[in-house]
Amino acid sequence: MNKALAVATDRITYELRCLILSVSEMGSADGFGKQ
Amino acid sequence: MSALAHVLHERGHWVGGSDRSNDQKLNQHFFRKLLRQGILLYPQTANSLPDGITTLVVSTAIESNNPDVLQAGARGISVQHRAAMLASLFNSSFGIGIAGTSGKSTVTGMVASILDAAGKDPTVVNGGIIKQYATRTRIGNAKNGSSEILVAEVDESDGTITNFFPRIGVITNVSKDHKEISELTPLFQTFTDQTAECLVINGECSMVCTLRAHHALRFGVEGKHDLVPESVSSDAAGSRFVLQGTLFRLRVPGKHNIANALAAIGVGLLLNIPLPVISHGLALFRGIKRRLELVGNARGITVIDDFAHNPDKIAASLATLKTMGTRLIIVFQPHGYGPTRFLKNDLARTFSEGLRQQDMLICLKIYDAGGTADRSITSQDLLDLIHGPQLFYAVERLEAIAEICRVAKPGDVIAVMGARDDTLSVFARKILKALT
Repeated sequence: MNKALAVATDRITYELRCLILSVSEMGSADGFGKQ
Repeated sequence: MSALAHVLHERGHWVGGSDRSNDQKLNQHFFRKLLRQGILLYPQTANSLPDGITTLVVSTAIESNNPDVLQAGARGISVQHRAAMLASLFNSSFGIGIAGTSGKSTVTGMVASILDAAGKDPTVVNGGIIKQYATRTRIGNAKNGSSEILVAEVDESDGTITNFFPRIGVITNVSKDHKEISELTPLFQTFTDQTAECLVINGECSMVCTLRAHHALRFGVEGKHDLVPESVSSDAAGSRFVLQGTLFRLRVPGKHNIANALAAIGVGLLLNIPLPVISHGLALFRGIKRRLELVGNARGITVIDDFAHNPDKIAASLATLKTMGTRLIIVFQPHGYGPTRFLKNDLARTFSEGLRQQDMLICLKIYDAGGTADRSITSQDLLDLIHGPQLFYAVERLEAIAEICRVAKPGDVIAVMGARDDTLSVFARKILKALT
């Protein structure tokens, strides 16, 4: 882990192991795809 | 989602991803970049969640009966919304939140460029691809920086904007898009209330001006505001203006991008970055992919790829495109059945007012993002409401190319417009090739 992790992720205090669904979705409005 | 994956992975977390389009072998250039970063890809099929994961990250587009979500529930794996995950990073940083109906990605990219030029090395999470960030291994919509600053585009469409507590907030403008104004107002007021230090807001947007903000820096391209440019000149390649004695050069065209630049300059000033450094940063900004992006020229005909999909974005794009040639041929793909139904009268008015009789509007089929949807509306229903330009409904994209080749002549500007469908960029290149 780099130094930024200690500084910037105070609320994530453990190492995540995460799977991101629809990882290619772009845009802040990811919900736009929902119809 | 990919921006979040990038930042989490660079911060040392284990990150994997899945995607239907990868399973269908679409957009492989995109997935190759994720793999080169070390983000593992899994098929999106039943029982496909890898062993050992603790969190499943989903967007609003993922429905609650998704097999992976159900499987996560059964296996006791935490399911988190992307906005909650991003907020947990953002709220524990010096967060700069960029909000508004239109211009978020561009302002985020401009702020990132300014902060990079000032040596602030921010973390950036953007919705669009910042061209100068894209490399062989990086998609370009994110950067993990070494400072405590995190710049993120925050979204009102699903209400998740209220998850964010910025130190500095920006509101570019507010208009009906995914929601009615009456639904948007409380969301942006909450964002305003949750901004700790100062807001940078568009003084020319009547809705934004109704928000109650204690500390705000107001910008406008015209009128009396805190930040107003002087000696403005624009052409198809970009704009120049003077602000407080400093010359600014933008490599992105259109009046709307001058407004976007003013918002970004406001952020820079709040961070005490000298105006010449801000100007240098903005000059380095090469734009966001698919925002009035030049695909090429053939036989005196210009082909543009553009993301515009809501009435305000389309109006801004049409105004800028008109400065680039004598006649416009717009190829528009409505995005999603629900949004098309919600916005069809506003879209029709925008095209009717923004296009002239000599212009042409070609509508493609409504983009189908899958999931449950009422598919009873078609692009023809939208075309039936539009008056003024020549109209053509292309059920198949090849029909659009054939019609363009039939009518296009030197001096024309052809713009492919639509949201979040990478195949539109491929389609724009096919149009150019067909004209060559």
